[in-house]
Amino acid sequence: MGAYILRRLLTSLPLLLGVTLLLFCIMHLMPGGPLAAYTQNPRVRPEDLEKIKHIMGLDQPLYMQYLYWLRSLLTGNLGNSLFTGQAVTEMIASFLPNTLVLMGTSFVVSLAIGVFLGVMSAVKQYTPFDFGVTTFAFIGYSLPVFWFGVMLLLLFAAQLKWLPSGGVHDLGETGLLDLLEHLVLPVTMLSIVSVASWSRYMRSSMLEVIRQEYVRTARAKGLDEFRVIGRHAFRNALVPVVTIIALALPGIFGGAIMTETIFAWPGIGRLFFDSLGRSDYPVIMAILTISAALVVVSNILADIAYAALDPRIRYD
Amino acid sequence: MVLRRFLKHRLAVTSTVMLVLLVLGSIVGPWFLPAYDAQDLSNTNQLMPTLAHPLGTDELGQDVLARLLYAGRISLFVGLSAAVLGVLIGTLIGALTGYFGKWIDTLGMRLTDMFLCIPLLMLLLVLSNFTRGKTLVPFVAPELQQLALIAVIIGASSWMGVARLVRGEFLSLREQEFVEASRSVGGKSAWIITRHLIPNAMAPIFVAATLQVGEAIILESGLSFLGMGIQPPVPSWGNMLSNAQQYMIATPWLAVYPGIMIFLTVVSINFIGDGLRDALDPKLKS
Repeated sequence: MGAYILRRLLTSLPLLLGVTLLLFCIMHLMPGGPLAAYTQNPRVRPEDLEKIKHIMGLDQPLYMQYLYWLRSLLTGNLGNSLFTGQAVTEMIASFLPNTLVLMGTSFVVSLAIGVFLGVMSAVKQYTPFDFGVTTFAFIGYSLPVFWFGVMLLLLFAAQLKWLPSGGVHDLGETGLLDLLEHLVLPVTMLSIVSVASWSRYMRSSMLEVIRQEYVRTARAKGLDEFRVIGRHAFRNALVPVVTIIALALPGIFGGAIMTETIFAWPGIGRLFFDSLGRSDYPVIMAILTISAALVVVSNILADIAYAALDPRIRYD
Repeated sequence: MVLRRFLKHRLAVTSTVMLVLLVLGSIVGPWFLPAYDAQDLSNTNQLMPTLAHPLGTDELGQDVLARLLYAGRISLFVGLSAAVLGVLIGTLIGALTGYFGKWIDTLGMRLTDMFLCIPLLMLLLVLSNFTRGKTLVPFVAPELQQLALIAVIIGASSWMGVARLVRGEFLSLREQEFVEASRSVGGKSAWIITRHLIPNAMAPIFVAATLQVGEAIILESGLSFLGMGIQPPVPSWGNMLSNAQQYMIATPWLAVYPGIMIFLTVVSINFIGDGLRDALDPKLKS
């Protein structure tokens, strides 16, 4: 197992390297490029532009620029924001906790609800409950999530005034209860799609397992239905779903852009979006790189989880 | 046979009817409805729904129904062209990697992996942010330029699924006897790919393309909602929603319509895709 994990990590390195190269090319080949923040500023004279170019190393050939960037990345230096002058690592460190709170809560909530709905609708296949969950899943697949978010905001914050419309805390508040109040709407928005899709996967995986012979054996032994479903069927049905869940992590991260924009949640997604508007090249590049790394790590996690959970799979 | 199987899928048939209505409404509707005109401020602003304006008017006095239908043209056009482009790129890459294998396969698939590593929305935002206001097709009005640009951006960022699908199909198809037969009588690679392999892989490609249209419509409206897609005064369901968001207290209903339009369109496209899958390839039925 250890050797497998190590090999999997090592083979992912070239991929990650390739992605950074791809991102670097996209950012540099685009009109405007990394200098956009300055060329749009009327107070920056053309000769200043040349100086900035030289200082930022933009007069060097592209591959040298990439190597310089890579070198500073490896030393943990992601450059400074062109907008605030702050170190990018510092900026990300200050925005990341909010995103992690949002993502983490949403992950736990969708996991609990999605898996529960999936198992129940498999156990009660072809009942009105199953039909309801299936309909909900189809709606979730086609739902424009940002519209769903706006509707939540409209109904529960603007009209009914039950919940706050945005932000992490009310002014002067730091309590947990206040945070939870602010989390309800964004978490609902961020979870709806994953609940819909995970319940679907859980359902079909569960249906497959229920037909297996070891489940029949468990029943034949005289175990009660709760034990059969909970112990024998559910655990085995979870194996393929764990992969899906690990692969969905980056999607939740990407969905944070919409959620954080709608609910004024000061997290990474919001920082990314604002930095785009300011052409803050180092911040954009850093967030893209981190996201790509997150995707690669999720893929590895999915593989490892699969190998660790299913004893039938051997990777040596 | 295919048609009969499709007609049996009741949801898919209902969806087809709904989609046809939506498309017809979008194409024909704006001609019959009170003209929407950004400069015409003689209307009263933000009317409640009335007989003359069934869905009310927005803050500029524009008829909302007419705008919704006009936006439908735009979203459907962008969604369809983005999907076609994405499927074309995906099929090309999938065909080359699946047919030739070896280093071409490695190269193409690593490229696919790399693109899959960048969260889609982030990639789209970066591309559209950097290309905003740029000219893509000469001699076309800037309002229309942006449509092409958004379609190209979405198409160029969502070909990976199709590429993997086509590659998989090709890997199994290229080993079959009819390919060998064609090669034995001197069929060249290009001939085999276009005449034998692609037609045989057409069913799953077609299903994927259908679902891709729905996906592209959601992406376009999402981008426009964030202000990085279609720019007003050209209406899109996404930018209508983001505009309505500013008047959420006074005229909350304005925010409801665009989402319903997107939802109805995408739901019907997804059900049609489902029906097509069942009809074209009964093996795939889950």
